[in-house]
Amino acid sequence: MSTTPDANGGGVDRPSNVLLLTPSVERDADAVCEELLHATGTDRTHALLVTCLASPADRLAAWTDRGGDPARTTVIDVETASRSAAATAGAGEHLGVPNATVEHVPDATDLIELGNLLERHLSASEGERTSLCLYSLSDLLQATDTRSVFKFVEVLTSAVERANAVAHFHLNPDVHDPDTVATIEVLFETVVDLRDDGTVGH
Amino acid sequence: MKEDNSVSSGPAVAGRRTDSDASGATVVLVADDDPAVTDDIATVLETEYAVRTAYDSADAIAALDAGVSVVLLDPGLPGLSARHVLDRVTSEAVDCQVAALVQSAFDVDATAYDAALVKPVPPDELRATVDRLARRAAYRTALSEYYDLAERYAALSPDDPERDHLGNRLDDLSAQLDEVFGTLDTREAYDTALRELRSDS
Repeated sequence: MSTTPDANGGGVDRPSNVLLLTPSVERDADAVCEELLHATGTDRTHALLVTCLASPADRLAAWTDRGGDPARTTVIDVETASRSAAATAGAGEHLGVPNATVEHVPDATDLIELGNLLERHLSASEGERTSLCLYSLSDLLQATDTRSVFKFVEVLTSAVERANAVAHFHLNPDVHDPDTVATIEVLFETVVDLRDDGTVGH
Repeated sequence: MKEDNSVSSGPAVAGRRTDSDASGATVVLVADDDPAVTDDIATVLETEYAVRTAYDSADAIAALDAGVSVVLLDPGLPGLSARHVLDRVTSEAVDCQVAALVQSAFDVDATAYDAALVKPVPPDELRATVDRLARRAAYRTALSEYYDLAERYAALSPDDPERDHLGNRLDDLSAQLDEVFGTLDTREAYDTALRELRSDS
């Protein structure tokens, strides 16, 4: 996948928004996620990580262990009803990563609040290029419903383009019916399906 | 209900969302218990919009259909409660944007209304608010249709002959959504898209 930026950082070959289909048994998902996070064409990257079921520390570790070193990291911790107490307990602790902060959205069904919080970070990136990882659409689909998540993602992907940011969205195709996955796919020009060989398709 | 005579605003085609009248103009319903207030507002708006008017809630509800994009509603409208009218305004069949017409900015339920206008409403503010609500309505309607079509498209088998046709309509809607999004603040886009999730806080 090309990551060549043009002079002003806009209009890169890399698509703004990528849907990443990562089945539960896929071991390479973290590597692809990390590669997409760094595909900003600049070393002044603000990594914006949204996590739902996984704890912020686990999500950070999933890619900092692989040498991820953005200028700044923000983790948005969306609390779902089904998260384990242990994952929540670790949320407020020191993450052990420099320049990393955690913010909370107390209710996974409140997609307006999540959107507004993301917008605050997307619109305030001075001299940085924001790279968003949303982990995962499957968690949001289980907390709310397909129509709401579809509309949320349509607005968010437009906001990512407006902010000249890049984003990728994880979806586990194994836990949804195929029609739901295909409906969400309509929102993306680029879908990376790790169920086969990771080829980029539409 | 008094229908404004200068503009045709016939009912929308059944089963199809149009959010405009036959001439393509955005339809606005003005409902205030004071006929003078209602008619003054209608006069300001009718150069740009197809305006319907009502002085009580029964007439307001009778004037609501899928063709209406924006409602300016006096919460003190005589007859059925404002909540009853609001439920109809935000129902799936009507789903339009609604501004409260109030005496003061206090007591406006920000969760229930998309905007508030304090009477007497200056004409510039009136036009600006209706214009903004009309863009919000266009975004919400296009987004709703986009989802419905995406769901239908997703259920088709890969060799279904309808696929190309639906795919083209999805591309058109996507372009239309991008265009309207360009005129909206991002926070406003979230609020409009997900109004049904708006919390009471």
